[in-house]
Amino acid sequence: MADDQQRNTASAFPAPPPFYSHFTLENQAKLKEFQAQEASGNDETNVGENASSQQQLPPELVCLIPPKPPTEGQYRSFGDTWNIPDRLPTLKELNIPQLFPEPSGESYNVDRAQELRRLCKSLLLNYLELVGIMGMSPEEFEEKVYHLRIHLINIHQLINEYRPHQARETLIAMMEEQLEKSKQETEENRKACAKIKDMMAGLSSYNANGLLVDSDQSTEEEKKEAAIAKASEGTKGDEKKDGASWEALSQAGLL
Amino acid sequence: MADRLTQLQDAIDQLATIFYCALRYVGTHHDFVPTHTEQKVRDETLQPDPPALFRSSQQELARDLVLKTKQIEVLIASLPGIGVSEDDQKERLKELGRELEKAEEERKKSIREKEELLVEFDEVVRSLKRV
Repeated sequence: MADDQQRNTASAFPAPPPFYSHFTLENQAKLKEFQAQEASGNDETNVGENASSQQQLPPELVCLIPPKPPTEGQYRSFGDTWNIPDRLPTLKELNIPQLFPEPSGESYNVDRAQELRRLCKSLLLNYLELVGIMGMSPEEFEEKVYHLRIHLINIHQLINEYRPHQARETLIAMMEEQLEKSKQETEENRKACAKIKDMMAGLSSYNANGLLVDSDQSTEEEKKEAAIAKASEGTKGDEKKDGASWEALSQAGLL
Repeated sequence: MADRLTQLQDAIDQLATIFYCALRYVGTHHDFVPTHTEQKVRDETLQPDPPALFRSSQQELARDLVLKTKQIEVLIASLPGIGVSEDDQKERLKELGRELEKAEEERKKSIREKEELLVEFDEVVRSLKRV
C-alpha cells in the first residue's frame, strides 16, 4: 500500500487517491447531517471534544473533511519537495560552496551588484582556464567544469535572493504612479470647479443687472448660454434646454 | 518584457551556452598539424573547416562571449534599487501609503465638490430658462 502510494505520487499523471469514491452525494448529505447534529448537540465544543466526535464519524465520511494544511516540515508536489514556509534554500543547505559574503543582520547589506560583477569576471577567468586546460591536458577538465558550475549556481542564487528587493522596488514605482494619477485627477477636478464657479459668477452678475427680468433679455441670456455650449440657438423645449446645459458642462470638461 | 533579474539570469544562461558552443566548435572543427616528419593525423569524425573560416568563426565566438559579458555588466548596473537598503524601501513604502491615502481623500473631496457644483449649475441654467 505504502509502496503503491509512493509510485502514485512520483508518476507524472498519478491516479486519484483511493478514497475519491467516498465523495458521493449521499455521503456529502450524510456528513452535513452529522455536522448539524454535532453543532446542535454541543454548543460549547472545545477542540478536544471536536476531535473525539470526529472519530465517531463512519470511516467513509472522515475522508470528506479536508485535513488541516501542514504548518511545518516539507511536502511534495509535482515530484518536487517544498519547504514550509516556502523560502529559497541557502547554498549551505544544498552543500554548495558560497562564493559571496554572508549578509549580517536583517537587512541585506552586501553590495550585490559588486558581488555579481566579481562573480562574472571570475566566471570568465575560469572559462579561460578551462580552455587552457583543454589545450594542454584535456583529461583534467573536471575540476574546472566544477568551478564553472559553482560560479553559475552562485550567480543565480545571488540574483534570486535579489528578487524580494526588486519586488519592493516595483511596488514603490507602482505606488508612485498611482499617487501621480490621483493627484492629477484632483487637480483637473479643481480646475473644472473653478471654471463652473467663474461661469456662475458671470451669470449672476447678469442677474443682478436685471437682465433676466423680461423675456427678450432672457433669450439673450440663452444665446450666451448656447454660445458656451456651442449648441444651436432656438432650442426652446425644456428637454432641449436641459441638453444644452449638459453640453455646456461637458464643454467645461466636467462630464 | 521580462524584468531585469530574469533578463540577467537569461543572459548568464546564454553565456554558459556560448561557453559550451565555443569549446565544441573548436573541438569538432579544428584541423591537425603534423609535428616534424610525422604524417598528418586523420580523424573521420572531424570535418575540419578551412583555416580562414575556422579563424573567423573563432573570432565570432570570442566576440559573442565578450558582448554577452558586457551585456551582463550593463544589466547588473541597471538593477532596480541598487544601493537602497531594505529598511529604506520599507520606510518609503509606508510614506507612499500615507500619501496615497491623503491623495485619495482629496480626490474624493474634489469629486463631491464637482458633483455639488454640477447640480447647482444645472439649477441656475434651469432658472434662466424659466424666466
